[in-house]
Amino acid sequence: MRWRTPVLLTVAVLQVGCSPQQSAMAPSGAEAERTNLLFWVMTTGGGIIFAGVLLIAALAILGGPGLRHRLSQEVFVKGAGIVFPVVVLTALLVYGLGILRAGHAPDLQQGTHRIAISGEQWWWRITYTDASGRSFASANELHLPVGEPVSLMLTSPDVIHSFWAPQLAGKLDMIPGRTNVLTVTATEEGISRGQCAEYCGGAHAFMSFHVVAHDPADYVDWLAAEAGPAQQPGTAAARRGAALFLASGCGGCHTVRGTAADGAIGPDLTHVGARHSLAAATLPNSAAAFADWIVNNQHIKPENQMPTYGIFSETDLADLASYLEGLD
Amino acid sequence: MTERPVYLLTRLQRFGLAMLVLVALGMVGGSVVIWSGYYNVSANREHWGITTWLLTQVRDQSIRARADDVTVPDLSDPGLIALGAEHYKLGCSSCHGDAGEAQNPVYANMLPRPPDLRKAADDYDAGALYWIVHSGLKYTGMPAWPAVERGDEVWSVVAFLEALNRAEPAAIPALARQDDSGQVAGNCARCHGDAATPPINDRVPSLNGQNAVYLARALEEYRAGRRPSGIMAPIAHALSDADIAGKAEWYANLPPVREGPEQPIPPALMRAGRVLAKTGDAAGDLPACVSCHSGAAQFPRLEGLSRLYIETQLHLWRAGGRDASAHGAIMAVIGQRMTDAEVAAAAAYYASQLVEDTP
Repeated sequence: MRWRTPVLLTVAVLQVGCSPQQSAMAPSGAEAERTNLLFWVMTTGGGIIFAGVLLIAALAILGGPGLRHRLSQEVFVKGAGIVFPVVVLTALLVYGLGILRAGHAPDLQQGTHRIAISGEQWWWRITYTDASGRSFASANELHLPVGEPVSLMLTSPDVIHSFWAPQLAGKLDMIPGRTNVLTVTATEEGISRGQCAEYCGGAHAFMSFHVVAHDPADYVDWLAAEAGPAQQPGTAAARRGAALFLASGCGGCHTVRGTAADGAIGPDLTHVGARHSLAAATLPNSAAAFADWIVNNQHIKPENQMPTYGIFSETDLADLASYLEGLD
Repeated sequence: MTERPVYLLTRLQRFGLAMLVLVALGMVGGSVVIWSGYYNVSANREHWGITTWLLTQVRDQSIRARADDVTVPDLSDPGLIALGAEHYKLGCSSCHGDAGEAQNPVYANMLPRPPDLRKAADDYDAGALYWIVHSGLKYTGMPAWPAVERGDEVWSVVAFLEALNRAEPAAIPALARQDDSGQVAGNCARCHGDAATPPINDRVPSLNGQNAVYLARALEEYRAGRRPSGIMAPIAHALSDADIAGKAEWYANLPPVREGPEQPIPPALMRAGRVLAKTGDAAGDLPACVSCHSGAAQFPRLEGLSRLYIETQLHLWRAGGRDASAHGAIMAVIGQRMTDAEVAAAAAYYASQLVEDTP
C-alpha cells in the first residue's frame, strides 16, 4: 500500500507533537493557562467567523436573486467588511492585552521565590536561594512549589538563549549582560519538559530541561535536601569512583559539595543522581549513561565544553558511574 | 578510369607531421632505453654529468622556493647547540659521520653520499638547513623529521650545524662526549641530567622527582607515535617495556636539581600565574591547573619545569599537536582555551616553584 507509510508517519509525528510532556496545550502553570485560554478563544471565535464567511459566500453564489440582492447592498458590505472587523478585533486586542497583562511591569518582589537561571552552551545553571538567604547551584532541572509565584531571573554568559517551559509560560530570551525576569506559577504537581527556544550553536537541540512542580511542603523538603552536601559513597565501587573523580581532575570544572571538588565551569553534580536526566535532558539518568557520557560526550553532544575522557578503564568507568549515580 | 584526387599538404602541415614522427620516435627510443635496462642505477657509478646537474638544480631551486619564508630564531644559545649535538650523534652521525671522523664505509657508499656537514652552513643558510632537516629530501636517503609538528626541535640541529661550521669549541666537545656508562639512565642523563646535573637546555624538561607513572606513559606514547617528538621518538623506539619502567623509576627517585632562577619573573606575571594554577578562570572555562596537576601519579608535576619547556608544550597543545593520546586529548581542550598571556603566566609560575612546594 503506497499511502500507508506516509500516513502512519504523519500520525506518529502528530502523536509525538501532542505528547503532553512539553505542550503548551496541556498547561500546568498560571501563565500557560492564560495563553491556552486565549488560544482557544481565538481559535473558536476565528473558526465561527470563518464558517460564517464561507456560508455567506455560498449563499452569494448559489442563493436566489432576492438574497443576492440583499448581500450586495452597500450597508451590508460596510457593516460586515468594516464595522464588524473593527469591533471584533478591538475587542480581541483589549481582551488579549488584558489576559496577557501587557504593560504590567515585572515586579521583582512579586514572586515569593527567586531562582536564577543562566543559559550556557548547552545546559542550564540554576541557582536556588533557600529560606535563610543562602544560594547554591544546581543544574538542568527547575523545581518549584505549586501555587506560589516564582520569579525566574534569566541571563546568559555566552550567547542569546531562550527559556521556554511550555506548560508553565511563554518564551523569554536570556541575553548576555542583562537579566530578564519571568514570573511563573505552577498550578499542578508533576514533571514537564522545557527547551532552549533560540538557536544558540551546534548542540542547541540538546539543551533541554525538566520542570518539577512540588506540593509546597514537599518543595521545602526538596530545597533543604538539595542545599545539603553530597551523599557519602556507600559501596566500595562508589568509594573508588569518588577517589577517581578527585584524582582525575573532575573537580576542576564540577562541584560536589562536601568534597574538594569545587569547580564552577560545568554543572554542579552534588545531587546529580537525583535528577530526571543527564546532560540537559539528553540522556536518561543511569550508570550506563554516566559512563557513556564520560567517554563519548563529544559524540552525544558535539562541541560541548567537556573534554573526552579516554583515560579510564572499564572498571574505572563503572566505579565513577556508580559514584555519580549514588549522588542523590 | 577516374583520376583519384591528390591532396597536397601545406608547408605547416608537413612540418607538424614531421614533429609528430620525431616525438613518436623519441618516445619509442626512450621506452627502449628504459626497457633494455641500459641506464645503470648502481650506486657504484656516478650519474651522467647532465643528470647530476639537473638533479642538483631541481633540488636547490626547490629548497630555495620553500625555505624562503622560514623565520630564523636566535641560534646562539650554547645549550641549544649542545642539544643539537646530542641529537646529531643519535640521528645524523651514522650516515653523515662524526664531524671530522672517517665516515662509516657502509653509508659512505650511498649515492648521493651523505655529505660532511661541517660544510653544510657554507652551502645553505639557516632557513634552508631548517627546511632540509624538517622536510627531508626525496630519493637521497635523507629522511623527514619524525614528528612534523615539532619544527621547534629542528632548530637545535640547525644551531649545531652552524656552530660546527664555525668550528666552535662549544660544538665539538658536546659531539665528542661519549656514552659514559652502561647504567640504566646513562643515555637519558646526557640531555635530561641526573642527580647532580641539570638538563642540557631549557627546552629539555628536568625529570628528577617526576611521577614514574607519567614518565613511563610519556615514553610509551613517544614509542607509539602518539606524542610527537623527533628527538624522543627514535630513543623511545629502542626501549623495551622493562627499560621504560626502569628509567621512569630511576628518575622518579632522583632529588630535584635546581640551578639559580632563570630570570627574575615580574610580580604581575607571577600573580596571574598563581591565580591560573590555584583557581583557574571560570569565565574563560579554564579549570585550575592543580585540579589535575597536584600529585596524582598519572599527570605530570609541573613544579620546577622550565618556562620554555612548559610554554613549548602549551603552544603545541594549542596548535593541536598533542591530542593523539587519551591524556593529551584532555589537555588539548584546555590548551586551546588559553591565551598567549595565560600560557606565559602559567609557565612562569610553575617554573618558579620548587618540587618540594608540591603539597
